[in-house]
Amino acid sequence: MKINNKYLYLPLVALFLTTCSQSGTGMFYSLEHEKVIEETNNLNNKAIFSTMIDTGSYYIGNVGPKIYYRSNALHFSSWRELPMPSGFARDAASSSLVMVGTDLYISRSSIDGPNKSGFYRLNEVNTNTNISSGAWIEIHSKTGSETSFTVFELHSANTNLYVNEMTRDKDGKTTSSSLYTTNDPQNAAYTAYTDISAALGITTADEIVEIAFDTTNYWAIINNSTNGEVYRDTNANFSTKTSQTANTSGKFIDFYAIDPNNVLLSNSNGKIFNTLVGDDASAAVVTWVSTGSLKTQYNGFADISTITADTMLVGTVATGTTDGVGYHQIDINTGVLNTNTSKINFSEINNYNSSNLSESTINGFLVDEINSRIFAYTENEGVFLNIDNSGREWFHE
Amino acid sequence: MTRKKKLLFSALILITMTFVPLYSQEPENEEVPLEINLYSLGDKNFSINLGLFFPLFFLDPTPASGSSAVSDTNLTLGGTGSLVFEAYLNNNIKIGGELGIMFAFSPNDNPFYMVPITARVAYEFHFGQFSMPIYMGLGMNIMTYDDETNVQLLMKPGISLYWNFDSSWSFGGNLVYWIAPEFIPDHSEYDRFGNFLDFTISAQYHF
Repeated sequence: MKINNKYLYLPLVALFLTTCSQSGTGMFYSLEHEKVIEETNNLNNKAIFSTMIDTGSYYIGNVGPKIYYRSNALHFSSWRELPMPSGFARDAASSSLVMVGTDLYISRSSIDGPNKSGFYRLNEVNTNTNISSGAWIEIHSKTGSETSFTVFELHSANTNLYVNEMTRDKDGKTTSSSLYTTNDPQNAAYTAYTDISAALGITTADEIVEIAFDTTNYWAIINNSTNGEVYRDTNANFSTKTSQTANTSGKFIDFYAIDPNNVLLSNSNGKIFNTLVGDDASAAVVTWVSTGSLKTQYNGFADISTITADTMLVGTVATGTTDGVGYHQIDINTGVLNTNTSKINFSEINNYNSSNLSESTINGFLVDEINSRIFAYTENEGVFLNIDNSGREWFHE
Repeated sequence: MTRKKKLLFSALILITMTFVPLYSQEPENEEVPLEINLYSLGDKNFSINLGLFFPLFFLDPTPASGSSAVSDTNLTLGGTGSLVFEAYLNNNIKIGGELGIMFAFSPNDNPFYMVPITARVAYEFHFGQFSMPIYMGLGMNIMTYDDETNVQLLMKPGISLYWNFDSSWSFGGNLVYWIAPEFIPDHSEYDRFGNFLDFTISAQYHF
């Protein structure tokens, strides 16, 4: 049989023609340095935190009907369930979780069982050693009807508490929406809150994405049925607001203020608008610089420059066509978004890229600068903690 | 010619006719050993192999000062399989190709795959009912880990031992060493040589 020599060259031809994807570090190097993501405590790996805050003594996160908390004294400690205000069904949802000063505020609502909604304050949460359902102070509550229920969404900015009170029908459609605020939430009765609905043009079609404070300005990010609006004011009640929506587009997902000069805004088209380079955020009309693409949506900003110089993390979100892919990085000095194409990423060298965190939708970050800890809470893989363990390393809460 | 001379002459003729043919005959055939080759040019075989994959170590060709060049792969014991087609050039030498796959898992249970596609040349020893080829494979290695794909060179020296069940089938085992380099352009500090070993059982069909 005559061997056709040309077939001997096929493997070599294929080798040179094949397109290969080279990682920044290589697979063998990544495997060599991969560490097990260790389970550190009793939190369920699938616990979905929608919000997470640092009170100064505790980390608190809300998981639908439950709120969990743990001490921040150590890197690792057990989570406990926070007793909830009484008078609600067992599956009542806690939709908001904010801190104003040293007090903790939550909103809670249930449709089935008692049709009740309200928002509550827990005084001096850091020193409150006897947290029970009775420790909660009801600020305001409403009882729903067969055809409607009320939802309170809370926001905090500086010393102000903002309350978006929405009435919804049984189908969940908002039939009325109002926005109130007070700079004395500890003492003011709800009836004394300032109605700022007209100042911000709140309608039933509006969703308040974020109200924030950059130490000088108050920002309100509001989505309507088609687009988003960005308002800025030095007044907490937005009575002299200016629109800063120019040069942006789409509906907004998240907002973050590093300082009065540097703010970031993400939208549903995969864009991140920022003022990191060029005009600052206090200019009369902010000139936004955009980055990003349609491939990814971003939610959750974390300034970790005290941990890794000039670096921000931004979480990615699953869309209808793309999966969440953990976080990307932004260089604060240049505004450049690193979409991880080179696989060089914060904490990557140890175990980030081999963990489920790198394939998850991130709901947000919590950065504890004092203890050099970073929490990433995800939509589908629970909560991760990053600490310095002879090199930054992720652990599964 | 006298009568006596005639008789003598006739006897000589008779003797010559009798004995000369005897002397001119070839000696009786001695037994010459007949060499029968098991295989020859044109014979082919097809093998299917399944077995275990042993990750051994990574070798850093440029280790930092004071650091070891050898490190653990962090991979679990894995599995491997392959298909081999070979054609004999003569009774001992054959050439062919192999397509295989292996899998193993990282510390976080993420799968790591390699798909080797190699050409190979073998020298096969035969003794009794056994055949023992030793071979060298050279080709490409398609590696996949963590949603990333990489193609690199691969060398696979190996040795097998087969029991020839009949003229069509052989059964045996293979022991193959994988030398899998991974070169990272512009970042030579991340270059590594993967060293692995596989042991498979094999069924081989001859045709």
